Amino acid sequence: MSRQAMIRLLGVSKSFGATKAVRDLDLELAKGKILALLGPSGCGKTTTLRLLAGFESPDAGKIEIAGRPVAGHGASLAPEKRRVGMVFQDYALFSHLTVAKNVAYGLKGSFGGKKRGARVAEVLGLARLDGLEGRMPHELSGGQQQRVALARALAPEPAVVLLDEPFSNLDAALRAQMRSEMREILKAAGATAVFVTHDQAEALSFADEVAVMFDGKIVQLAPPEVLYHRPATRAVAEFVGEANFVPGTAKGGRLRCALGEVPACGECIGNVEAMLRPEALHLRVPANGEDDGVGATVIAREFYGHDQLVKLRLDSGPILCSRLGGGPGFKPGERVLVETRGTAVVFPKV
Amino acid sequence: MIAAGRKPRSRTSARLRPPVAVWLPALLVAAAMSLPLVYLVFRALENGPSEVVEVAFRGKTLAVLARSFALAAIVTAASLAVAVPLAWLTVRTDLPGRRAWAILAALPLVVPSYVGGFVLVSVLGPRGFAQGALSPLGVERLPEIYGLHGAALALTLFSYPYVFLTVRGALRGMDPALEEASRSLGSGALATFFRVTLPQLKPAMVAGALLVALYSLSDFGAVSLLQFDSFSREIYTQYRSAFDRTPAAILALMLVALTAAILALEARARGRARYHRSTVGTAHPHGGRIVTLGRWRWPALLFCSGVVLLALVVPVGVLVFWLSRGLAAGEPLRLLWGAAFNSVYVSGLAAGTAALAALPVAVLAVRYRGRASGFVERLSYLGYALPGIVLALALVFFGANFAPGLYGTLVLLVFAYAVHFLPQAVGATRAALLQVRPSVEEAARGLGRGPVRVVTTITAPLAASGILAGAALVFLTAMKELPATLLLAPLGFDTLATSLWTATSEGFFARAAAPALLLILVSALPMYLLVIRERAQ
Amino acid sequence: MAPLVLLAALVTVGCGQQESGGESASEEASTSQGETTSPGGSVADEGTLVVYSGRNEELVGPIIERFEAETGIDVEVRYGDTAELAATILEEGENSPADVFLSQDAGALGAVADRGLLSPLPEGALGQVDERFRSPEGEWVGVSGRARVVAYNTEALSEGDLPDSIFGFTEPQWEGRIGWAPTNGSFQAFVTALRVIEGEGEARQWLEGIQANAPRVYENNIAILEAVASREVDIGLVNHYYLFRKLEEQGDGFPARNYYLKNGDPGALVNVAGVGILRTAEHPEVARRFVEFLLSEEAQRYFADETFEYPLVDGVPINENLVPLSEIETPNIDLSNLDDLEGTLDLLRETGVL
Repeated sequence: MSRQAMIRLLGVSKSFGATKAVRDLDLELAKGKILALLGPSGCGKTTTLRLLAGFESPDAGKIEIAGRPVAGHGASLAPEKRRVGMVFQDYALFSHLTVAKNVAYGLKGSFGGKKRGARVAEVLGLARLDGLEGRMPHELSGGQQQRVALARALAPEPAVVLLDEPFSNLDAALRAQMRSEMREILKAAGATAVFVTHDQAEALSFADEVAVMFDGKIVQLAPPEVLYHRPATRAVAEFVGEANFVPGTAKGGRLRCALGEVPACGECIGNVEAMLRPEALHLRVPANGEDDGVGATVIAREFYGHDQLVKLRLDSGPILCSRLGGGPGFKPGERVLVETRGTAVVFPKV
Repeated sequence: MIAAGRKPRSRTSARLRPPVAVWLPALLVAAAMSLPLVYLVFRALENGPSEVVEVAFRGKTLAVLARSFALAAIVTAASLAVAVPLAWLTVRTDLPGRRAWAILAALPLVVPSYVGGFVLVSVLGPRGFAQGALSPLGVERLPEIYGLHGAALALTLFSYPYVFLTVRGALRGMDPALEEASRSLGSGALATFFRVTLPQLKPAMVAGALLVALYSLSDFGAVSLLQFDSFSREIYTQYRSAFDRTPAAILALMLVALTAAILALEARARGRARYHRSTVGTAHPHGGRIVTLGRWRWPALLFCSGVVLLALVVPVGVLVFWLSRGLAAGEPLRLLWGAAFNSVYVSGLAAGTAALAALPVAVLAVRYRGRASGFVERLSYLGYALPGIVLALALVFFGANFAPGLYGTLVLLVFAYAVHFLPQAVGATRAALLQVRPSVEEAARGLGRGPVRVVTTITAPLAASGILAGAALVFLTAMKELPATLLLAPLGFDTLATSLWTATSEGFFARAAAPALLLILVSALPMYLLVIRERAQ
Repeated sequence: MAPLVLLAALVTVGCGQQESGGESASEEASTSQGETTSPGGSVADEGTLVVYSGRNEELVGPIIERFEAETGIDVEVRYGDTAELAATILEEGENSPADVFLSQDAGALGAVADRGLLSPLPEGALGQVDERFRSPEGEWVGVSGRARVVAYNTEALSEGDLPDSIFGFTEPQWEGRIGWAPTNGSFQAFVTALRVIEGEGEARQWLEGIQANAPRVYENNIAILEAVASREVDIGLVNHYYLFRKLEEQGDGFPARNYYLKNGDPGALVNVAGVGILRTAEHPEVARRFVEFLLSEEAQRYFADETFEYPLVDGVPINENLVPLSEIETPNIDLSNLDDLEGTLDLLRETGVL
């Protein structure tokens, strides 16, 4: 279904020598959406980005941008003709030009003198860079440089903006703030964007849709919640967040395992591996003498201020972790009772 | 190479005081560099300041000044026009055989200017091969080869590699993301080259251009053979015809003043571009994007072969021709192994000495930037621009009168070479040091190593290939050196260059061909290594 | 740095040092470099002679070798340009390691003598040479002579076409047909002679007259001679001996010959290559023996036969093709006075020749 697909990849493959970086990839992105390409290093996400930009050409398959074929099946459009804006990991600002000239770089043709100036001002305002027009890139902070890079990419109104690990050069503290700012800017501009990252938190918070890639293929393409709560495979589940795995048997939407009986989703029946997020496990201190329920001993605890991750060993053996709000601290060695709230996701037992 | 990148975090290490182990050697180097200047001032003032004024402001002198400046300007512009496209073609495009072209394009540096000029006249001159080949076709007289354009051609052909090498290094060190960003913003390959690549290359271009400009001022071989009256020819004429060294010294001081002016221009040209390393950006697994030439491949190949033909094939070809003609006429083949060994030996020593001397100067310039370091660097360039005869006489003066034990020994000759060619080593070392991130050195300091240990155990090894490149350049130039060698070498110490001179000054071309070819061959080896090493980086 | 030197050494050791058995002095000199490769360098010791030679190694090397062979004295030579060596001697001053200065022309000797750096030569040596060709103060003596001649292309001209005097070439008919080398020492010596004999004004007129004929400029005499032979120019102002070399190389068909100007014309100047002993010589005795050798019949014959120059000692036969010295109508001039090259240079500059 391609109601208004801004980019479309069909059966795209790319190899470098003996290595297959991208294998038979299919992807579509609607206009105005932000897509994250998430995966470990070497999974092919950067290659996919460069294929879109036109810096690599596919060995097989077809790529379309705004309905226009740009690669594959005879078409081969040079990067400068694709109307694709790109933000690089190290920003790649032109150090010999001012901020305003950097942003204006891609504007030409239909933009005359005044129109050009107006567009530059507009984009600078959008990126909250007013007043910095005359500065040189090396005079700016990291966050400002990143916004200039984004503004420069947005100024010529590209069909799609591509971002290559845009936040990896920033301090941790700055990252969260920049993420929300960038998202606001992109949404305000109505831009379609694809960005590449290996950080799941980044992907989940920044994107409208996330495509998880392993070994050159997209394993799951879904909105962040779906990805988090209903991962398609065990590997995806592990990659996208902390996960607990327990063996069990599933039948008819219910799972029997060491944690008792739990609602389950997923189509498997019989011996399965069930995944539960740490938030699904609740702990409480047993009342005096209470012996009912799933018992466990606390092994370790990490305190994050706003929440805590508690590692515990069930009496029946498995080691799991539970995420709690900043409640009463649990010390190693303490006895607790585990209550499961939420649905498990089952995978076939391997 | 020097790259005008931008620093996300600024390091204020420039404020630190340099340790003794750095500024003391640098000071000694500066003192050594100023010996020729002291000599010149002493000689120039011998007959009183009135003579200085009289000689300096003579109409003829000012005319020579203008001519020399014009020559330097033309040669610099021409070298840039040849070297920058060559560098771009061999690094950034899919030119067929670009690795071979890179080596061939750098090789003309090994041809001495007095050989190259000679060959040029014998090919393009009024009695040359070209005239002989074309007169049956009705071409009466080729355009005059002598004069400004001939001298400019000769100098350009054999010194453009200075620019070629520096620009190539800069291109390789450049962040490919810059060009990709430009293309994603809608600029085609050519527009990207002019709007983004070229400005980024400015520091490297300026560095190479400086070497070329100053070389064209100091060179005597080419301008004398092609009969152009520049400063060096004027100075030589003074020494050869008048036995009063004072006017010559005054002229040499004027040359120094011209050099200082050019250095000032260079500082302006460097401008706001800071001495930043190229950004340590994405370790791009697939390298920079290569520009496909398509139909442009043919003009590009034509251009490359034209340059290599004139600058390399023709000189070597003519020499081989003379050699074979001489052998056919019964001349013995003089394989001057002794002279070759001497050349290599003393040039090797010079290269090592220059590299060592350059280290403190470069460290000062990069890590402890300030007025003092800039001054020492500028001083080293003055030695480069002086004609060899001036340097030689300065050292004769000091050697014979103040250091008789050293006079007439190899030590003084090696010293002369080092003083003369230091800027080549300094430039390369400085560029290499810029690539070493200060954070690495700081880590070493944090682990308890003092500044000298850090330089010797961390910085120098990391910058090693750049330092070696500088040493190789000095080696090459020392192999070709003639005037200082004639006057300062130990008695009986023949080099290939002096053997060449012996033959050519009496017109024995065939006898000159063998040592000339041997010189070119022996010099070509480190040149080859220089360019190949680059590849491996 | 050390690896580079090591590499350099290895490369050339691999080539090996060969004695190719050549006869020339350069081979001789380079085999003796075994002792000069140490940084201590070579320092002359007992029984060694240090010569600064402005004459080319190819030309005088063999005769120096003969001296070494006959006397067993080791001679170490620094070859270079005459004027540069003179400047070097002047810079070295009292500390000069040189014993003997072998100069291409009298002017350089005169300049060194003027600074008091030459010591008087023994009477015996001086007496062998005509007064014209030695220093009146006895500080230097000529060893071989060379005559200024006009080389002309035999296909274009015959002797009868050429004027008797050098001034004849200022006539308009010679426009574009003259070649000269203003930077060459011999030419400048000639101009100095012109100034001394005819006076400054006449000399200036001559220079301007030739300049008006658009002469072609060359770096040295060989280049002029070749240009004459290839008819690039029709006549050239050169020294006599280059023709003989060419005749030997290319045979009698070589289309150029020498023409001597007449009647004591300045253009018929005979200049000399000479030798002087430095006051700072460590071994003056050895130096004297060297000077005497250069004036001996053996050496004088060498100059006559091998380099086609004029021997200056009486009784030595000259090359059969050469016009005898006695027949050349040389101008009346003291060669020592040819050391005012500064004045010549100024004149050359003022007239735009240099």
